[in-house]
Amino acid sequence: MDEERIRLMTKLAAYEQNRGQENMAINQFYRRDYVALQMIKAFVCSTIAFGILILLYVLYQMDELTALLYRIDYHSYLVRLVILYAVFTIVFQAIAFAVSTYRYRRAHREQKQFLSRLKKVARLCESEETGGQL
Amino acid sequence: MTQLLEMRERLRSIYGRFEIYFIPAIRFVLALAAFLAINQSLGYMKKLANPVIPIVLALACTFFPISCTVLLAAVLILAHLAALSLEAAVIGLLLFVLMFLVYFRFVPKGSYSTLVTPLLYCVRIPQIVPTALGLGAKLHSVVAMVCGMITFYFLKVVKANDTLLAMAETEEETSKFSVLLHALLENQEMYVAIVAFVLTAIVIHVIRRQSVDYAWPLAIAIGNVLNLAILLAGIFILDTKENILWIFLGTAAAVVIGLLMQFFLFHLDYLRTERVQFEDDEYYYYVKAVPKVYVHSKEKKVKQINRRSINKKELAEEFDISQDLLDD
Repeated sequence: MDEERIRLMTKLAAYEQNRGQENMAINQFYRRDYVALQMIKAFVCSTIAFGILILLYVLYQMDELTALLYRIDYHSYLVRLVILYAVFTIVFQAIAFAVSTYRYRRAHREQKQFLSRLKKVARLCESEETGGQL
Repeated sequence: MTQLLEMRERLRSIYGRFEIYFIPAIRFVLALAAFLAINQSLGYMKKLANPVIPIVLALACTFFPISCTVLLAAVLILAHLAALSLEAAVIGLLLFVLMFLVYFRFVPKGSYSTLVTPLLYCVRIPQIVPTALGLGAKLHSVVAMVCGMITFYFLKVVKANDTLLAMAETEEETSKFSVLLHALLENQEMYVAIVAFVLTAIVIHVIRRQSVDYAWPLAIAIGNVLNLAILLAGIFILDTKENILWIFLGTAAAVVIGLLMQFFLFHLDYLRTERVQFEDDEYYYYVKAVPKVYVHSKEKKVKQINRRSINKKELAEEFDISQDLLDD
């Protein structure tokens, strides 16, 4: 038994079992497409999260808001809300961009390493067969 | 010291051989502890008080990732809150959904600290969490730790106000939301603890990654001193209600756990540090090599001495000599 081949194949199997599936799913995309998809998902999540935060704030200030219901300047509140939403979304999108870019690069690097090991194993198998035939 | 190192190698080899059983066992114990703690500290839904239910749920969690345990724990908490008061359940649901959207959607594997933090709060030594995260996890795990802390303090607030929440519908129904949220968001004890633990985890993480000698012990010492200072400042300046004795005990436990982690994960012999310099076509290298403290475990050789007859071949093998020498 060729020790080096067994060592390589063990590493390949361990990679396939742990991160292989995840990386293959990521590598199906071009980097821009993957990052764009993650940012769209993050946008949806950030909008829902912002909605929940506003709801919690309204519940928190329920008593004061009920008392001031007819005296609230809705226009200024709306402007402040839109600015807050914009800031929240921009921060969330920046984090999503950084995380997805890092993940894509890592997946690409690991997949490249996997393929290089696979080629090495194929070469070892070939050399064993040619050596056997001789 | 050699005996400790040998014991460490033996433990590592045992763990390596039986890892396939250890990991499900750890998941089962963690899940069972979490579900029992939830039932005991909340316990508003009598149907869930049956001890068989946590055992069955924990057995189910053994076969799934940790995020499944966190999800079931959240469902259990919401069930108890719904039995107490709809308002508490609604706020609990909103908080859990927010945590999922902001963090767990991106990092589902970070759930361990979310589960362990409230458990350690129940035994009053939560200071272990920032030390362990700073030494052994990535920096983003502090978000999972903060989620666990917010969950604990939310449940504490619910328990403190359970009589009010359990009251029948009144004209002032909206005030139940307000009472809960005011109690949670104006809880200075929670903010002090969050600041202390986040800063501790970050400081420990940054210091332990430096290439200075004894980086890990330095990180553990500085991080825990900082943690202690902030928590004590919270007690004296902001007048938060904390037991000083338990803060010291928790910090001591954190230091012990930190040193244990260092022994198992990063035990280096700084006295035998080597510094070398060399170059290749592209770079000039300044390399610092610090050897790990490592001891081979003894291999036991059992030699049987008995009066059976021994042939020349076996005798030659035993004395490691050529068989020709034994020929007459």
